[in-house]
Amino acid sequence: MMNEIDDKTVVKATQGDKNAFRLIVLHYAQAVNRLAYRYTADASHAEDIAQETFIKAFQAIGRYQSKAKFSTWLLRITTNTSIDYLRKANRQLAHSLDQECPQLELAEDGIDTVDQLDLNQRLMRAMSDLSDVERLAITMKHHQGYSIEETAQELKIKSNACKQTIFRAVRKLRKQLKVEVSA
Amino acid sequence: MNHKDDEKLLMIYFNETDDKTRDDGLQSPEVCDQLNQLEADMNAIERAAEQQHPLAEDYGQQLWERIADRLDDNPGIELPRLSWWQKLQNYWLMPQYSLASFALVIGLVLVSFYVGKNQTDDALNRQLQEQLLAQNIQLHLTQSEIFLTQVSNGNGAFNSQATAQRLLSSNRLFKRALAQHDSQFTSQLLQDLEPILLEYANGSAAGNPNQTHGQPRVNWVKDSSSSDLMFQIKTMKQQLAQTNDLI
Repeated sequence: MMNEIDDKTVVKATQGDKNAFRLIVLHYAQAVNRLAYRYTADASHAEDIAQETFIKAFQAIGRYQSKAKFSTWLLRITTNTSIDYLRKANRQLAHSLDQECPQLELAEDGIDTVDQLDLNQRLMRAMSDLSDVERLAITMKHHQGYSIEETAQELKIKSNACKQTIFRAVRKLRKQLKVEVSA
Repeated sequence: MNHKDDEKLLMIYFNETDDKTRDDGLQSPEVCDQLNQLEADMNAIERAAEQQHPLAEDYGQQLWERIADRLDDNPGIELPRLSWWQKLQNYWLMPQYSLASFALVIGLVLVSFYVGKNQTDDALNRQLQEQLLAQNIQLHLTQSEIFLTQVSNGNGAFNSQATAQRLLSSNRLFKRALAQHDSQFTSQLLQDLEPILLEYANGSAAGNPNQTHGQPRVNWVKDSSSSDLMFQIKTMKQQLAQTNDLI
């Protein structure tokens, strides 16, 4: 559960107080960057997305409604910014859902060379080996709590395709855990 | 467990199934174990993800320093990307541009009005000029007819040469005026009339045995070609009198 910033700061920021917005940045910067990293598995991309997210938030903060948690609102901007960022980076978001990810197969084939790595490292590697759409879908669903329908809508893919994408991503990640067990 | 069952189990884990499907799917202890294993795996994945990508403690301050200059002074005002048409619409909504546009439209309307009016005036003037010219030519033809009748009747009581010179000048003026109108029949008639008038104006018919001094060709209208000319003059006079149109 994320520690929320106090409402007064948010209200001041919505009224144009730049210092209040600075406090918001200080409070949420790590969470935003970490989420962006989950979506991209790339530190420089995560940094770009974090900066863009706060700039967008600053421009749109007048429209924030206190019905939703501020963190929910901010992390939704992070999600949308990440999707846009990956699209602009000309990466194949909606690659053929019938194809297996070739990078992961290589990692599995080379299990002898990686099985010395600890679980976290292998999971990190497995995450970065997921396709962008797989990483986005599993993070949105599992970490951010989006529904399948919402995830599919944000990623502009069909609901069934979204289910398949998430299923495939989970299967690939769980394989790394089984390696751990068998090792 | 097959692919389909795995997928169903994952949807149960994500709470993306209805109650009946979940209850039906979880009747078997084996499936419950599988769900527990899935949950444990997902938690492990989540823990691993949380430990990824360590950031400096002052990362928030670093980020603020990177973006502070890029934040404008009016937060909360999101500037959407506008199409050229929306930008144009926005310009029109600004009072000064709106007023300028209105003035421009009014100006264009006035210019169009005056241009149209002038064109109308020009057309009216041209029509009026044509009517005046038709009436003058009609008068000229009447005078020419009288003159030719008098000279052909041998009336020596008037100075035919001076009259012919005056009529010749008028004839040439009317010919020049008709050059600006589409009136080939009237022009042709004046063209035919000119040599006759010129003959009398020059008094060149004096040596003609049929003529007395200043009165050439007695019974001029009895000449067949001259009769035709007199007929044409009469016809043209009637035409001009009836319609005032130059033909």
